[in-house]
Amino acid sequence: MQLKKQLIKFKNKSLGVKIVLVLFFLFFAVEVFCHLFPMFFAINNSLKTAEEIYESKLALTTTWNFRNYIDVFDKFKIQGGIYFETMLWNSIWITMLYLFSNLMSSMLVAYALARFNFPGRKFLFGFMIFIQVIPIIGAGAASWKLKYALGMINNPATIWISWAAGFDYSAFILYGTFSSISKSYTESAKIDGAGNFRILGKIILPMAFPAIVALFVTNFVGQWNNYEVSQLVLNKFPNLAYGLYIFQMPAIWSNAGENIFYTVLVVSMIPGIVLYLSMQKLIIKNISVGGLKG
Amino acid sequence: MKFLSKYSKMERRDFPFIALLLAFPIAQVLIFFFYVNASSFLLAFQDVTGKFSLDTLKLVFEGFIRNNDFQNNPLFTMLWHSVVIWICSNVVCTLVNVFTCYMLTKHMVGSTFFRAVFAIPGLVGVVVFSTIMKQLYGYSGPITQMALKMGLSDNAVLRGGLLASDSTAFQTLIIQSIVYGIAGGNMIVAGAYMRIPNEIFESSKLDGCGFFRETFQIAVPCAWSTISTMLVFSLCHFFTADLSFYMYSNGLGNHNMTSVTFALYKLQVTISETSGANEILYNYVSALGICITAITIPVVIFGRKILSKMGEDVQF
Repeated sequence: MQLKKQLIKFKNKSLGVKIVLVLFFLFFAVEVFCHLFPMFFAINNSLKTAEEIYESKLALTTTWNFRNYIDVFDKFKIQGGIYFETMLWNSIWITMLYLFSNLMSSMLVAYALARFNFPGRKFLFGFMIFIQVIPIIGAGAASWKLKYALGMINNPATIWISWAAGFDYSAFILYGTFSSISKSYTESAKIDGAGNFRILGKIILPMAFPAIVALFVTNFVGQWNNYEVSQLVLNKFPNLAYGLYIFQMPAIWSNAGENIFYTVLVVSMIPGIVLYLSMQKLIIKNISVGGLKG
Repeated sequence: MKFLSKYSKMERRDFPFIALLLAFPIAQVLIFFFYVNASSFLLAFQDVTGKFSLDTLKLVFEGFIRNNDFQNNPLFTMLWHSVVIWICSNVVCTLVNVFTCYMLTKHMVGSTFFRAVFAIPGLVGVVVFSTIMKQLYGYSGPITQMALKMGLSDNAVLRGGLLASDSTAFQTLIIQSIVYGIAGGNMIVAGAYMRIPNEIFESSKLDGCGFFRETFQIAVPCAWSTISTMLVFSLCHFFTADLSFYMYSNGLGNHNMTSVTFALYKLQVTISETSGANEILYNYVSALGICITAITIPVVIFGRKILSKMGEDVQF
């Protein structure tokens, strides 16, 4: 139906516009090929046997070797005897711990700045913008030194505190969402006797829920693929991304076989793609950035 | 408390709740932002014993001007690489995205499909994506073979693939960043276009506004606040833009795959792997960071001023 509408619209356009639209369509088609080919390449090789890959990486699979997806549990391992399921579990808890601590803290900051008038509000808002637009480079070493001194390295019980940055990009996005909710909701709730906790929990958060979910998904994708966290501060808990970085060296995967190498690539990209694609519209609708004026 | 008198009684009643909300985030930022940055600043002006010294800064500075031979100076090369990457993957891609996102959002059949496909490189993550691309850039990989057919001379250096040669590795990754950056998958710009009410476009059509006028005089100005904000954010990466060289070079930074971000990350990895045993690295990373920050901040401020003069925020 929508396609029909679009075609009718297209027919009614002038020749110049038609040419521009066709050129853009061709450009997008080429881009689709460029984006899908690497994925197809990995998926195709993940369904081959090691011998098939040796013969040709580009030929289509003939064996459809789905067994690779079972073998990955036994064969994907890195130094220290760490297997796929351990890395998967590490990815899950590191991602969740990061998301929970970071989003909670950002939510608190954004809510306070967007909904209340208090001394220092303008300063804190300015500070939030300052962090976004003024780059401070090279603090990583000092940050690592502090975490080491505080015993946070390889310590999941405390490392989350360093991730709970409230004045960050997420707070900036949530600030926009909380500001856009009409103040009349909270005013009428207050008249009805609702306290601040109730207003936050029963009115504001449910109304901002789509934006929070959108942020959750985008941050999930970023954190799921974050190898730096395992390489720098949690190297006793390698996640899938870091495991993959180690495993991609031919000397490591050669024992498992190149088919397992491609299977691992495909498996680790599934959660991000599935989660994002199922929430694409929600994310685009709810993540907006605009205007740095307070 | 005179300054509190400008707040209503109702507002003042909320102060304890606000304090409760902000107590943890402020404590966190004091420790992990203010303390860390102050400590980084001090480390840049200290020697390994903790005494005041300008030796580390001198070391960094000498790195920039060594032999006055900028072409072969590793630090200068890293800075130059970052600027080239920033221009190609940030400025060019953001500007092209302004139009491709508009076409996708407002005029293209199957826009949901296109957007989903264009988001894939970001979704699979840099480790997976770079690993797959490295296979494709190998000598027998389809991209190298295509490049050879298109006229790239087949020499012994290229036998390791496009990323194994000084003359092709950096250029290959720059082209890759443009190919994957201009497609129109930028969801923030797409979101800005989606939020422009259709009534604006409909009434402009009634007034006889054509396709090109609609694009340049209605759509782009309406989304300008988002576009300029993104450009301001991207200015922060002027000297730190990177193309995941750590991944593409397996942490080696060979074949011209170096940038300031790569160098800083590599040093941090060394600190982490040695549990901070080599203390001079703390000082060197901090000193290098301070030098880069000092030259980046004026660029950001100047760029933001220019962008704010280029267009007014449109309210709708």
